[in-house]
Amino acid sequence: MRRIVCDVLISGQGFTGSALACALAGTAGEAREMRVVTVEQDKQMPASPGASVSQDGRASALNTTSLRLLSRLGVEDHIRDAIQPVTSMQVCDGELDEAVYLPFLSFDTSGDHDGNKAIAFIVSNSALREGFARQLAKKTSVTRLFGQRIEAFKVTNTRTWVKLDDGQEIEASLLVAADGARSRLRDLARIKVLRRNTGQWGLTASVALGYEHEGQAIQHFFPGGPFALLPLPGAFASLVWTEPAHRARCLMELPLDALHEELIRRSGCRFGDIRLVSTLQGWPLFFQIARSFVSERIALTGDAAHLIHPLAGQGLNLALRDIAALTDCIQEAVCLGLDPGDWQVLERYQRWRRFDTVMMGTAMEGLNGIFSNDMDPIRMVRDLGMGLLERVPLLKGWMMSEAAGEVGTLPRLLRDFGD
Amino acid sequence: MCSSSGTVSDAEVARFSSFASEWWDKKGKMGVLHKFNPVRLAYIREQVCQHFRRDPHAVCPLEGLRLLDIGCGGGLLCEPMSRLGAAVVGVDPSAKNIEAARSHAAPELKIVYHCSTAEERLVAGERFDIVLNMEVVEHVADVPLFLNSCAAMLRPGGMMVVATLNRTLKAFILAILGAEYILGWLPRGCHDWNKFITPQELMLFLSDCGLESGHLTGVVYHAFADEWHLNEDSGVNYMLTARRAF
Repeated sequence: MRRIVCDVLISGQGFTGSALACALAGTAGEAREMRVVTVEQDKQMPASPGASVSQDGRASALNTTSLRLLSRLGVEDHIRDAIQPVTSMQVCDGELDEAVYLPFLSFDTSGDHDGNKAIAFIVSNSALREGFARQLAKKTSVTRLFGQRIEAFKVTNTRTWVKLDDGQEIEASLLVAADGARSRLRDLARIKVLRRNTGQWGLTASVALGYEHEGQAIQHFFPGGPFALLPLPGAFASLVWTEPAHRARCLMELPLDALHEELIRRSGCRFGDIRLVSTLQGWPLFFQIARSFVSERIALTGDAAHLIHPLAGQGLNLALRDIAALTDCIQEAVCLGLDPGDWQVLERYQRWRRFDTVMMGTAMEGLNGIFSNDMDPIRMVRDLGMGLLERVPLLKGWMMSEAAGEVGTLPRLLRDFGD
Repeated sequence: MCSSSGTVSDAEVARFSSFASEWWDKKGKMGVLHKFNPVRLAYIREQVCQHFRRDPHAVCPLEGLRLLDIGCGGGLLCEPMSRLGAAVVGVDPSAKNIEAARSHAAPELKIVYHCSTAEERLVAGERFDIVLNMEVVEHVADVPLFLNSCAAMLRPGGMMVVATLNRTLKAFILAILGAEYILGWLPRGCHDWNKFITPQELMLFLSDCGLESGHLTGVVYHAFADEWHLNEDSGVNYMLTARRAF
């Protein structure tokens, strides 16, 4: 078997790994084309063109800068019809036995002077996966390997030597872990993680709505955890629901009719009838952050580096920010003739991303802790705080731009050049 | 150690040989040089592209140019220059440095390393389009003779880039007290303030060698960002380009 020689080897070809491969392989002759190899443990997914609702029931929330990145990478072209902008959002603080949930915070950009501005963009994971696959298929400098995993690797002072489980050898300057929360590469590199079980489960599904959603998302904070319906194209929505572990297991075993009733009740009847169009999936939620985002010739990105609460849909956005920052660090180094696996490249990446990530993770944990709570004083304080937020336009504006990912030093791939 | 001659200081060669194994250790004694590397690489790239009218966005903008890195140490500049397309010759009087440089460079880089001196390369008849003289003049025994040998190896129309330390009070405080004694970035005794030279002296020496001085820039350290940047202030570290007429 011939040894493959490349600049960057990416472990994992989910959204994070695919985005990095697209970014490094260069766009429109602007950047230097790098030789990239992706190694994915799973078999290649069959194409499912035009699916706006995932069979696995999962969807992702993209903020404005993430969408900008996807458009620069040429991925947005493939998924344009599958993207649903969220133009308004109602946040409620509910008790299950209350007849009506009063929104105490609402965001609305539909009447904004800047009409096309949205709070977020929702896209089904299957459409996004398809978009990346189509764009990657165009890149000649990317070699994609499926159904294989990294068995071992060795770092020398100029390269890394990787061995796959089928015996294939790959020589790369830099290894990037984009292989998810249970990253194999991270474990092989012996990078430890800080991990906390939240005791909550995340439940997701795609649902069909009784009424048109008109771009509205709802997020209801119940004592057990947040319940959100994020609009998808057509009269569909993505359900993201958090519950304590024991309740989640019960919910997953409910007969379909009972489950539908529960969904209608929790949505405050806002969308009328609600029916599942995929299976209901559930898994335990963890808060996890790697003790270091880098090691000799290795960078961790996306879920391999950090896992946060899904309540604000920031997981993929954080991952794409990692990718944009790492791409900047690598391209600047290569432009100076430096090795892309140089320690300085990695150090700069870590300095850039770790602070941002810890801030975001802590904020999400804090919010979840404040909301998933039924103590009266805490409820009062949070309602007061949110009421205040509602009345102070500047603060709310900042929060919205933070949610859009516009705060902080942006990597070039995320910057708004007015194009 | 190789045969030493007029411009090589034996004490300096011995000092640099003693930490030859640490050239590529980014957390070791040479860490500060690695931090300094991007700013000087960017400057060389920009100046060379301007001088030889190369496209700065090209993948290998230095393609076809023969480059000498005198006092190359472990090859910290040779490797990037080679990746940018130049045909690189690295020369250092310390055998240990050359050994470290050779063992680090990936074979596809095709860098030629010599344990030798500027005078010896001149006698050997080597000629170059670019001579890099980075952080070296403050370590040589006879600056005019050394610069003369370097200049004589430049082809007509070729360019030299010199980086060194200014002989000012500020340089004494920052580069010697600060970097060696307080921060411990560099080994103590790495630099001798009396051997620092001012930009004016350097320009005079270069003009005696028949070179015309070009662009002068200072390099300053930004503590908050932990990065070096080009700056008008050439009171401590500075870089200067010079060209040989056709």
